[in-house]
Amino acid sequence: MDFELSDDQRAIVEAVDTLLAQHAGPKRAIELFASGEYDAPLEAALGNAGFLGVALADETGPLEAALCVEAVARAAGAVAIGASALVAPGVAGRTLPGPIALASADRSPIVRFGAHARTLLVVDSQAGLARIVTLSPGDAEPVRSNFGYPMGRVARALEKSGERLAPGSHERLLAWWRVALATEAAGTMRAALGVTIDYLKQRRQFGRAIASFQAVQHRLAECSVMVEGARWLAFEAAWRGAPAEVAATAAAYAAAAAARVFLETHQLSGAIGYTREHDLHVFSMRLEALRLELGGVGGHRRALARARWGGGA
Amino acid sequence: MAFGSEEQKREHLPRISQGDVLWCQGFSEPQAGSDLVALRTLATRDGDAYVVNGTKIWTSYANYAEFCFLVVRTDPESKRHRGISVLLMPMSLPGVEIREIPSVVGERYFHEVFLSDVRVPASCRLGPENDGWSVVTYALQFERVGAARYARAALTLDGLAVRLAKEGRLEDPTVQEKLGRARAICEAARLLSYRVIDLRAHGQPPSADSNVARVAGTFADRVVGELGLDLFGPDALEYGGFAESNFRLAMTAGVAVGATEVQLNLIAQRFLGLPQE
Repeated sequence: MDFELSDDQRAIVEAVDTLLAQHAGPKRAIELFASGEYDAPLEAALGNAGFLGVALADETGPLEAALCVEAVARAAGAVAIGASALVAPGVAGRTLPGPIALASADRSPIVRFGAHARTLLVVDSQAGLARIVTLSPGDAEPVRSNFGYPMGRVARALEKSGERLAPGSHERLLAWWRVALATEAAGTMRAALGVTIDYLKQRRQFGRAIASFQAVQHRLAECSVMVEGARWLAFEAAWRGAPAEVAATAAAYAAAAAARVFLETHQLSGAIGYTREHDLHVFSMRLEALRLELGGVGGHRRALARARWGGGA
Repeated sequence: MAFGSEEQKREHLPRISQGDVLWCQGFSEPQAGSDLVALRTLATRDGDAYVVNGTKIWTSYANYAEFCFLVVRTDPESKRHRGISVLLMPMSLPGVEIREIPSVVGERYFHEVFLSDVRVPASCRLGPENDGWSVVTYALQFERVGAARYARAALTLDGLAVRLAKEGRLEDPTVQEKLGRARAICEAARLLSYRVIDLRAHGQPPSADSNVARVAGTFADRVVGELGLDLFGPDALEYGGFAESNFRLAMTAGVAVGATEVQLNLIAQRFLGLPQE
């Protein structure tokens, strides 16, 4: 993998950033979250511009899709971008009708975008495959949550219905899900850190900018090392087509980094960071939701270790 | 490659690329550690040679090295970054005395190098006189990813896993989580180091990306070093064992090649654009 974006990749990121500047951003995320809405206009705009099919297009692939996912997460898009742009193409080999929610039959029924989803992608480990379930209105109920995404509870019975994909497809779903959440976490962390740094540069106490204190700088610098690590691990995992070990590596690193970034950005931002008028919470609260998916950091680490060195579940 | 004369390139590059010559680095001094520009070792021009006097410290491989990448002050009136030059000094010259500093890192690891009226030919100077600091900072950007510590940490981790497998401990979810954590940290360090190398290969000038990679490498070294002891308990305390040998090297990670705090300062200022006081 090249670590310098090609001109074409740069153009894709610029184009999606331009679209996001018009259709997304933390202020819009705050409004949508207050009313519990899904950003259908943003999803439509991304779809019309071709950004949801980047993984399957001739000239592009999953790496370019991951670049888009990271950008949407940075802009706090209230859409299931990872599921649409990375997971569905990676597992089903086609784009699926959105919003798309991801669920696992042996994990919590509370999932991101559950109540809005038209398509549910399900890990069915017992049957040893993945399912594509088409949801009707009322199939899932909204769950009140403070964690940045509209959450929904999916009825357990639904997870045994729908189109059965090939045997073993649940492993592909698990891997692409991990890549998607790692990529979304990477973009969300970058934005959370950016919001924090902007604030600490202008906030003055003791007669100087808070960002000029070395004790503060070192913590921000350590966070930036983790955010950069998470970002490149996620991009590499997408570029390599989500092998189980590499996908689990990206997710394990991102989930641990997310916890640290949440802690540091809030601690350094002080009381303003908890308010709904300040942008930090848009990103930070999402990080907590992301880091709990698929067994959380412990689940990803165990999956990594088993994929690399063997040892049972 | 960037600063050498044609003669220096002819003399040194083939042997360096073949890996049949050992160098050491004469950077730190007793009064100039993290604050390297406080260095005092003086090189006074005398005809076609510099007469060098001073002390270098913590020099690894000084006992084996044929040459030293020696940073000296060539203008005695100068302060800080000005007046510094780099000499490619043969270690066999008269007046070079090496003394080992016993340490818990291991035998023959740290040395002091005493330089007493060492006559170093002027042709050994790398780059311009009194503007060697640019050479030093350029070299340090590479050194920070040059030593592939993440690779050693990752290899050690694989070695630990092999030993755990023999003891039937890989089924233990706690062990799996610890191994997984360490592996992810090693992989992040690998990618960030590759990124720096890739950016240089694309002709990008050195940047704070190398400090980011260096800190990630330090995290990798630390997590594997600690984990090795953790997993094998008091069995790992015996000198020379697999985990113990790794621990001794890993424990220097945050200090070697510039303290982590210095790297974090550079990341804060150059990568994040944070203000100085």
